[in-house]
Formats: sequence, C-alpha cells, structure tokens
Amino acid sequence: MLAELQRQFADEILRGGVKAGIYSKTVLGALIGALEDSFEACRATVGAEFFGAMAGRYVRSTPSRSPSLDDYGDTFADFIADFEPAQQLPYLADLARLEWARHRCSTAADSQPMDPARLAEVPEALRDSLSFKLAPGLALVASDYPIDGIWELARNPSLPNVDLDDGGVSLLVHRNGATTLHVRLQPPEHQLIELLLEDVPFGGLCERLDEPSPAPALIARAIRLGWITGLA
Amino acid sequence: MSPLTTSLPAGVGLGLRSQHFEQVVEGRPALPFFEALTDNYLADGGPALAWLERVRALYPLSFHGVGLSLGSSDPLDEAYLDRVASAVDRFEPSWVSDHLCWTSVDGRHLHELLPLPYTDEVATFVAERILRVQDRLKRRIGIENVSAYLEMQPSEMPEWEFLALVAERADCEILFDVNNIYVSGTNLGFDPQKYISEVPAERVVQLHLAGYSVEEDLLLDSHGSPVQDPVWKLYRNTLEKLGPKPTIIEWDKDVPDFDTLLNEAQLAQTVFDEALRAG
Ligand SMILES: [Fe+2]
Repeated sequence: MLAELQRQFADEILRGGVKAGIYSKTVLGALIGALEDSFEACRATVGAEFFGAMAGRYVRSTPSRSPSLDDYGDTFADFIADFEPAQQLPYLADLARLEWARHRCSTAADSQPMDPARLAEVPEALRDSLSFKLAPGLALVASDYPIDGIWELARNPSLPNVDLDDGGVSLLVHRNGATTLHVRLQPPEHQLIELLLEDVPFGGLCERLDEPSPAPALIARAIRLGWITGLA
Repeated sequence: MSPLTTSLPAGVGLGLRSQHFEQVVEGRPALPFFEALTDNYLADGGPALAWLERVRALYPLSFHGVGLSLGSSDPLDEAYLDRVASAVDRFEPSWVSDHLCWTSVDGRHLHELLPLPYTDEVATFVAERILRVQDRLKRRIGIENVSAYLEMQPSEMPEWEFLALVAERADCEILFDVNNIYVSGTNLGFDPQKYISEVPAERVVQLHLAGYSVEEDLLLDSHGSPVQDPVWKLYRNTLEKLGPKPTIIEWDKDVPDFDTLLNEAQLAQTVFDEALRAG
C-alpha cells in the first residue's frame, strides 16, 4: 500500500500534477538548483532564463538516482548536446562536460604527490609491467572549441571576447590541495593521460606514444605536477 | 541500548555553513556546538571534509542528514548507510539525526522531505527501518518532524501521535523542529501548542529553529530568513514544556554573514537562559 501510494505521489510530483500541490515546485526547484550550482558557467553563458528552461526540461525527463544531490546532472552535458534550442551554441555541451569534471574532481579522494625518485628505484626488469595511479578525480575534457576561454569569460564578463575560430583544446581537470584546476595539454601529454586512463603500463606507453615524445620525460613531468600519484 | 542521553552541551549552537568555515576555525566563537549537514560530508575527499576536521577539533558536532529516506517503501540504501557510518566513525558526532519522512521511491530521489500517511502499520514499518539504521551505526539516532504542505492520506492519527509511536517502537530520539510544527500547523490546521504538549519530552534531545516563507496560501520551511515572531513564541512554550533542550538555528538558503547568524543564536540563547532560570 505504501509503495503504491509513494509511487503515485512521485509520478504526480515529477509530472507537475495538481495532486502533488507545492511539492512539484519544491522538488523540481531543488533539482534545477543543483544544476545551477554545478553548471554556473553554462548558466552565465546562456543567461538565467534560457538555462532555467533547459534545466526545467532536463529535470522532467531525468529523475535523480542518488540520495546525494551532488550526483545529479551527470548526463546534463549529453542532454545539452541533443537539446535543439542550444544548437547555435555548439560549444555548450563541452563547457558542461568541463564543469561536470570539475564538480566531480572537487570532492574526489585527497591524494599526496609521489616522490619522483620512486620510479628510479624500480628494477629494470620490472619496469615494463609497471602501472601508474592517476590522481583521484583527474579527467580529460577535449573540445573543438576554446572552452577554457569561454569558462573564464563566463566568470569574468569584462574579459575580451573569445574567438571560436581559435580552435580546440585538450584540458586536464585535476585538484591541487583544495583547489580544482584545469590546464591545457599539449598533444603528447594528452596522449599520455589517455593511455594512463586506459591503465597502459610503462612498456606499452613507450611503444604507443607517438614519436618524438620520450615517455620517461613525460611521465616524470606528470609525477612532478601531481597527475600521477602512485605506482602499481 | 543505553539510556536516552542529552550528551550535547546545553545552549544554542548553529548550523555549520561552508561560507563560514574560516570564521569558525579562526574566530572560535563561543558556541556550544555546530550541526553539520551529514550529506555535505559523505564525499571521498575535498576541502569540506578537511574543514570539518578542523571544526571538530574545536567543537562537538551534531550530524543531521536528509538521505536515509526512513519512510520509503524502497529497501534501505546500504551503500548510503555505509557512507554515513564511516563519516560517523571519523567525526564522532554527539548526535546523528534524519527525518520522519520519505525522500525516494523506485530508486527515484526527490530530495524533498515528503510526508507519510500516519497509520499504525506505517509506524511499525518506519520503526523497523530505524532499528536497522541504529544497529548499523551502533547508536541511537534522532528523527525530526518535517514541515508538511499537505496531509498524506489515509492518515488515522495526528502527527504527534505518529511521531511518539515511531520513537517508542524504534527506541530512538526525537529532534523537535519548532518552526516545522508552526509551518505544518498553519498549513494543515492543527494547534502547535497541542503538538508541544503531546510530544514525549524525555525522547527530545535537540530543537531546531528556522525561518519560514509564505508562498501562495502556504507557509514553506525555507531556512532563508530570521526566525519569525510566532516561532519565537512557540520556542518559549517548548522550552517551558520540554525543558532547556540544546537548540540550533538552521539558516542554509541565502546564507547571511556570520555575525547575523551569531546574533540570531544570541537571541535564542537569551530565551533559553530565561527558561533555564524559570526552571
Ligand atoms: Fe529542522
């Protein structure tokens, strides 16, 4: 009896039915509020009204599946990519991907930098099978548009306009202590992180990284910058 | 389980907000405790957890959550419960509480404190879930009365009777929200004084005060303004009736500067002290 009653009430809330009373407004408002918090740059870019309409469509089609409101919005970027009225802003879905990666990274497990000397201590014979642990929350976001510039502009509208013809970027999202950051990667670094995300060991990295990027030097740099935090 | 306790220091504390972490840790305001929203500290890492460590080193904590969905027909979310349990182990709060409501069904989470039908059968059902949570956390939890914007049918008893029944069957504590009884009383047409006189005083371990807002013909539990006059009056009555129970101010929407919150806590402390003197 309770299950049926709750199911019907939840349906009524999510469809905005009269029997749910004010609860439709408070529930959908909380979901929209979560999107506003996690996708601030998208909101600033398209304006509160457009964002509200877009978020309103999303929350009606996408129930929250986690008790934590922080988990809500993981498919919002995909939704934006298919959202007809946002088609004139082809970079918007990628901007949302960047914001979601930052949001996730901001509460990922804490990690300590690794001592670069540990790599040299690994015996030569074991080196090829060595795997690397990436910092928790680290993510790659690639786009055909300069979304880092668009992100900055959303936060600070007095900056000069971004030229969309500036071309694409590969961004690495990671955390430095309490601060979540994203930095532009050069193609060899992008390739390295991609391979590390696939858990390719040292031997495979040396084979698969395009010349002329010496794998050991790239890895040493990734350790120094705190992207790689351990060996496995 | 051990006898009901009132282990939190007496007096008026504040809900802890991320906007004020630094002021709390640097300024060490003279407050008896802080209440942390459990759900804000269940992540794997990040700055909020680091701040909470620092606050915990200085103050006792109360953990107040919204995600247990104690009244839901869904199975208890064990993964969520595990995360609460590890946060409780790590921060050792003086109290742990959630709400007498449901927030999810069929795996869909509504993130709203939804009212239950108040029947004997539902009281038993919810009490059993609370018992399982208490087993897992190895401690008693508190359940809070929520603000209601409509009456869930079929209900066969008033809310205070349902609350007392659940608390009795689960042998749990009650977190009594004074603003919520004013809001629900106004919306549903019951007398908050009656509620205060019927709630089992010995199970009430903590009180909440907050501001409400008016929307259409309803009061909403909005937590975005100072405590309003009718609620101050009910707070006095509550302290007279239930005794000087530790209290916090909940202000988590449109969070004001820290001094405004401290001032609000001071107002409540004055009422609290008067009640203490009146004995
Ligand atoms: Fe409350």
